[in-house]
Amino acid sequence: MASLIPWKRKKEDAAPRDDILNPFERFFDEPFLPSFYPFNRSEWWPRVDVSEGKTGITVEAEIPGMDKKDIDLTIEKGRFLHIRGKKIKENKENKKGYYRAERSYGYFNRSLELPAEVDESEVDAKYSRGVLKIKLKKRKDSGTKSIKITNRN
Amino acid sequence: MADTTSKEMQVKEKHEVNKPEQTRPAPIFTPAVDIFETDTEITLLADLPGVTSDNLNIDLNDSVLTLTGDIEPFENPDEEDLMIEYEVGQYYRQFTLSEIIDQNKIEANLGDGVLRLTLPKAEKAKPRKIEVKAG
Repeated sequence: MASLIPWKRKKEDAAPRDDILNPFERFFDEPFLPSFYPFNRSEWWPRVDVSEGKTGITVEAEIPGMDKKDIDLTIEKGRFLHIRGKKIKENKENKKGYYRAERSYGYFNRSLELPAEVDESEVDAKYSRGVLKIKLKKRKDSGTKSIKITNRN
Repeated sequence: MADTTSKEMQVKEKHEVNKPEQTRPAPIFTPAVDIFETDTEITLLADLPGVTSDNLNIDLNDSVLTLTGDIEPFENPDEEDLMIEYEVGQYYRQFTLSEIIDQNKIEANLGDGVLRLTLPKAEKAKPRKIEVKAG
């Protein structure tokens, strides 16, 4: 999709009347397109505790009432942890009505930037009693890292 | 359902302050609940993440139903907290049941951090169809 946008002025140098004259530019500025992706449509998000030790990082998230197969856990570039899923509301045909509806349902998406780079192959994730506990190991060479500079395509 | 004012089950909220029997200083949380009704029963779902069935207390006294749940403090030795969004403490909430609930047949089930309480309606409260005989 990005290749369809020929050239975009930075917002701050754009003349204000540009927005009026060219509604298409504005259209692509809005976070409109990614919202089709269901996981971006977060309807609630679990509460998370993060603690860090010398060798590891522990993340705990309160996600009561889930089936563990409905939780999608990914680590991106060793640095970003994404907890996603959908909590399904049980549907009973003969429900007459609700007195209270305080619990959260639907899609959730929680992304965390980790304090250090972690080893993606050494992740221990457990779900019990409605709490997801993720133990991550820090990558040993994460202290210093040389950064490769590449050409942008 | 037509009338929500004639509640068969009332929620007693914000009772944290008056709680007499707290033995250790810990924050008290009100668990989020869903309460819905069918013809035969009322179901209560309460989010109690981190509570085991041993630490959950369900008490029924003079048609006041009290839920108390303790979370054991998680310990990550040698780790430093970076972000805390939920704290360890106690869940506490009270509900008043009406007489139409058969209090002897209440069932409780705790799974994946969710308590499911099934409160069957007493026989006399169940809607029944009365057949009219043609004479």
